[in-house]
Amino acid sequence: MAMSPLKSSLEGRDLRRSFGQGSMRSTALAGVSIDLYPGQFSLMMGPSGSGKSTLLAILSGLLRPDNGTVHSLGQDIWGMSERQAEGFRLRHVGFIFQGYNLFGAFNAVQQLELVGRWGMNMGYWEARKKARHILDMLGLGKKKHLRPAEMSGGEKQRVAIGRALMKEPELLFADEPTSALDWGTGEQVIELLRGAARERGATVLCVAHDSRIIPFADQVIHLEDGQLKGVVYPDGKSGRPDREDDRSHSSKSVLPGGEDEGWNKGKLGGRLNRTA
Amino acid sequence: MSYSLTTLWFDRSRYLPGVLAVGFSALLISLQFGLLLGLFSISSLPIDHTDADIWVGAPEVLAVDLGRPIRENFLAKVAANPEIERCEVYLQGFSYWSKPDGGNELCMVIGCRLDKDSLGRIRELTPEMASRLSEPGAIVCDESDLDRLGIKGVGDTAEVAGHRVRVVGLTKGIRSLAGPYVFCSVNTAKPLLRIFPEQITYVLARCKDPKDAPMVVQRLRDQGGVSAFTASEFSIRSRMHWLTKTKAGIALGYAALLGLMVGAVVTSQTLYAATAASMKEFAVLRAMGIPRWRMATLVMSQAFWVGIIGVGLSIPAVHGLAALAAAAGSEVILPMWLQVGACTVTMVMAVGSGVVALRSLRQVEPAMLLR
Repeated sequence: MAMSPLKSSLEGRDLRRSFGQGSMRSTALAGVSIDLYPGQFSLMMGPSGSGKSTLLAILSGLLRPDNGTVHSLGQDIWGMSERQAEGFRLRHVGFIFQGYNLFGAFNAVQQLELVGRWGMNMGYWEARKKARHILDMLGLGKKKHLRPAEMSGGEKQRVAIGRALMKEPELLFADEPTSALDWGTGEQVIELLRGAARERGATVLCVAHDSRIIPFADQVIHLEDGQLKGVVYPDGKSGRPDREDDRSHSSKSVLPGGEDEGWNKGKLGGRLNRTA
Repeated sequence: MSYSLTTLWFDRSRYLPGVLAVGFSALLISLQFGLLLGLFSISSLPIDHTDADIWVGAPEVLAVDLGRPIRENFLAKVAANPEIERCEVYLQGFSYWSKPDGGNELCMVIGCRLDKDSLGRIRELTPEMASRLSEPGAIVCDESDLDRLGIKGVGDTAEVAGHRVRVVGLTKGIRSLAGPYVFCSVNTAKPLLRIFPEQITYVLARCKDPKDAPMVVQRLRDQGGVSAFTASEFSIRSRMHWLTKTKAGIALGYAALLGLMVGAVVTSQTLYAATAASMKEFAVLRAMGIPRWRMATLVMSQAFWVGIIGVGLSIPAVHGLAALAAAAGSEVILPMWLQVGACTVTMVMAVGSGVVALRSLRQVEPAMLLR
């Protein structure tokens, strides 16, 4: 069996999750297996109700699956106690959500500084220095002292990314981070997320609807009706795991224009050519 | 500035009801207790405005205005203590004032020695008044009681317990509770109080060294047959008697408790609503593994500052309203222990409200952020 050149940082196996009871019971995930890799920007797509957010919640340690395992950085996160899981998230995980969820009272520096002080036990000045540095990197140098109400949507999302990066997480989860943004701004946000993967070696998983993001991704995971419909590697080469067992249990690779009916056939192929 | 203060200032309109509720509670407690202390200080006025170190009266006397007759020879027993510098007789009791144009009024007759070193003469009685009071049937009352006594001023006459009295002077600021104070000499007081010539109400004494007063008091108690108190003991005993006897203390306690409860409900709801409004922001922090106690500390810190600001606002308001009450004729006594106590109780209420508001944090679930 061929060995993988890239070791996965996050492995989900046979993940199942249902909601409700009795006749109201609905299956959100019906046995999904997935691998994510360090330094890669993975995109998860699929129609509404396909189970994307549920899978992201399970992989990130926010929602317990009914069945299956998640090994994150080599640790079985659903085998941990709640306190251990909290500690794991504190050390390794960052989140970005569609709603920026920034404290209205705090300026950009304080939003980040809070994470440094509360999450990493940094001193005031250390946290402040780091927050300023990250905001400078995100192009928010002149907006550091603005509160959320004084910022545009894109600026707010960049602050939210900065907040997530404050801990320098090895795993970064983004749930529809561009849905409320115009494409130009959304593209910048995606570039930042991809940068976090490329430059920091973070494992980035992003849930999104917008197919224009596909060319930026290292792998595109497609879900439908709670099942994995396929994993696409837009560049066709780099970062593609070639372990046999990976292919066999985690996905079937479906290239655009292939057999999958639900996949943005012709349109997607054009997008992919842009980055190829 | 701390995160909690930043939030409080930014969202001040949201936190204002909580701050005002805390301030109102502190104000209510301070003013109510202050008014009551002012009211009942009237009952101990004869003790507080005179110079005796020791008061000796009938056994188990409950308050200075409820003194019963004792034999005058107790004076000698008290004087026999070597620590005593001076002692004298003192009479005090309720009687009936008959107004010149008809009608009766309860009055409090006080008969004391009138000389310069008298232990029972209130300070407001000037030497001129004291001199005029030495005439038989001469009395002094407070100018604020003229209407109540149905007289117009100095020179007017009336009857007390069927004995003719003449007003020879007016004091200022000696307010009364049950009945107006009527000051006179010991000899004038006896018929007005209808007590036998060999009877008195209290023996007042002054020690050579005031520090010996508690020791002498204890010795007199041990001898039996009388009740003896230091001046401060008797003053507190008199006030507390009326406070408890009239149930005013209980009524006040309930009112203060009600004020505190209203304050607690408003404050906790304010903090709860403010925390609930930041639920999603807290959820992001929880998702990132930041422990719940960090957020709880923020909420508690907000509760603390809401308390501090509320109490801080109440202090000038209390003193302003006390001055207004004084101008309207009601004394509000605000001793330091009362102010510190009211602030402490209110702070405990504010912090307790923070604890109640913490339950909103229990609803913070990171998964709620995912659609």
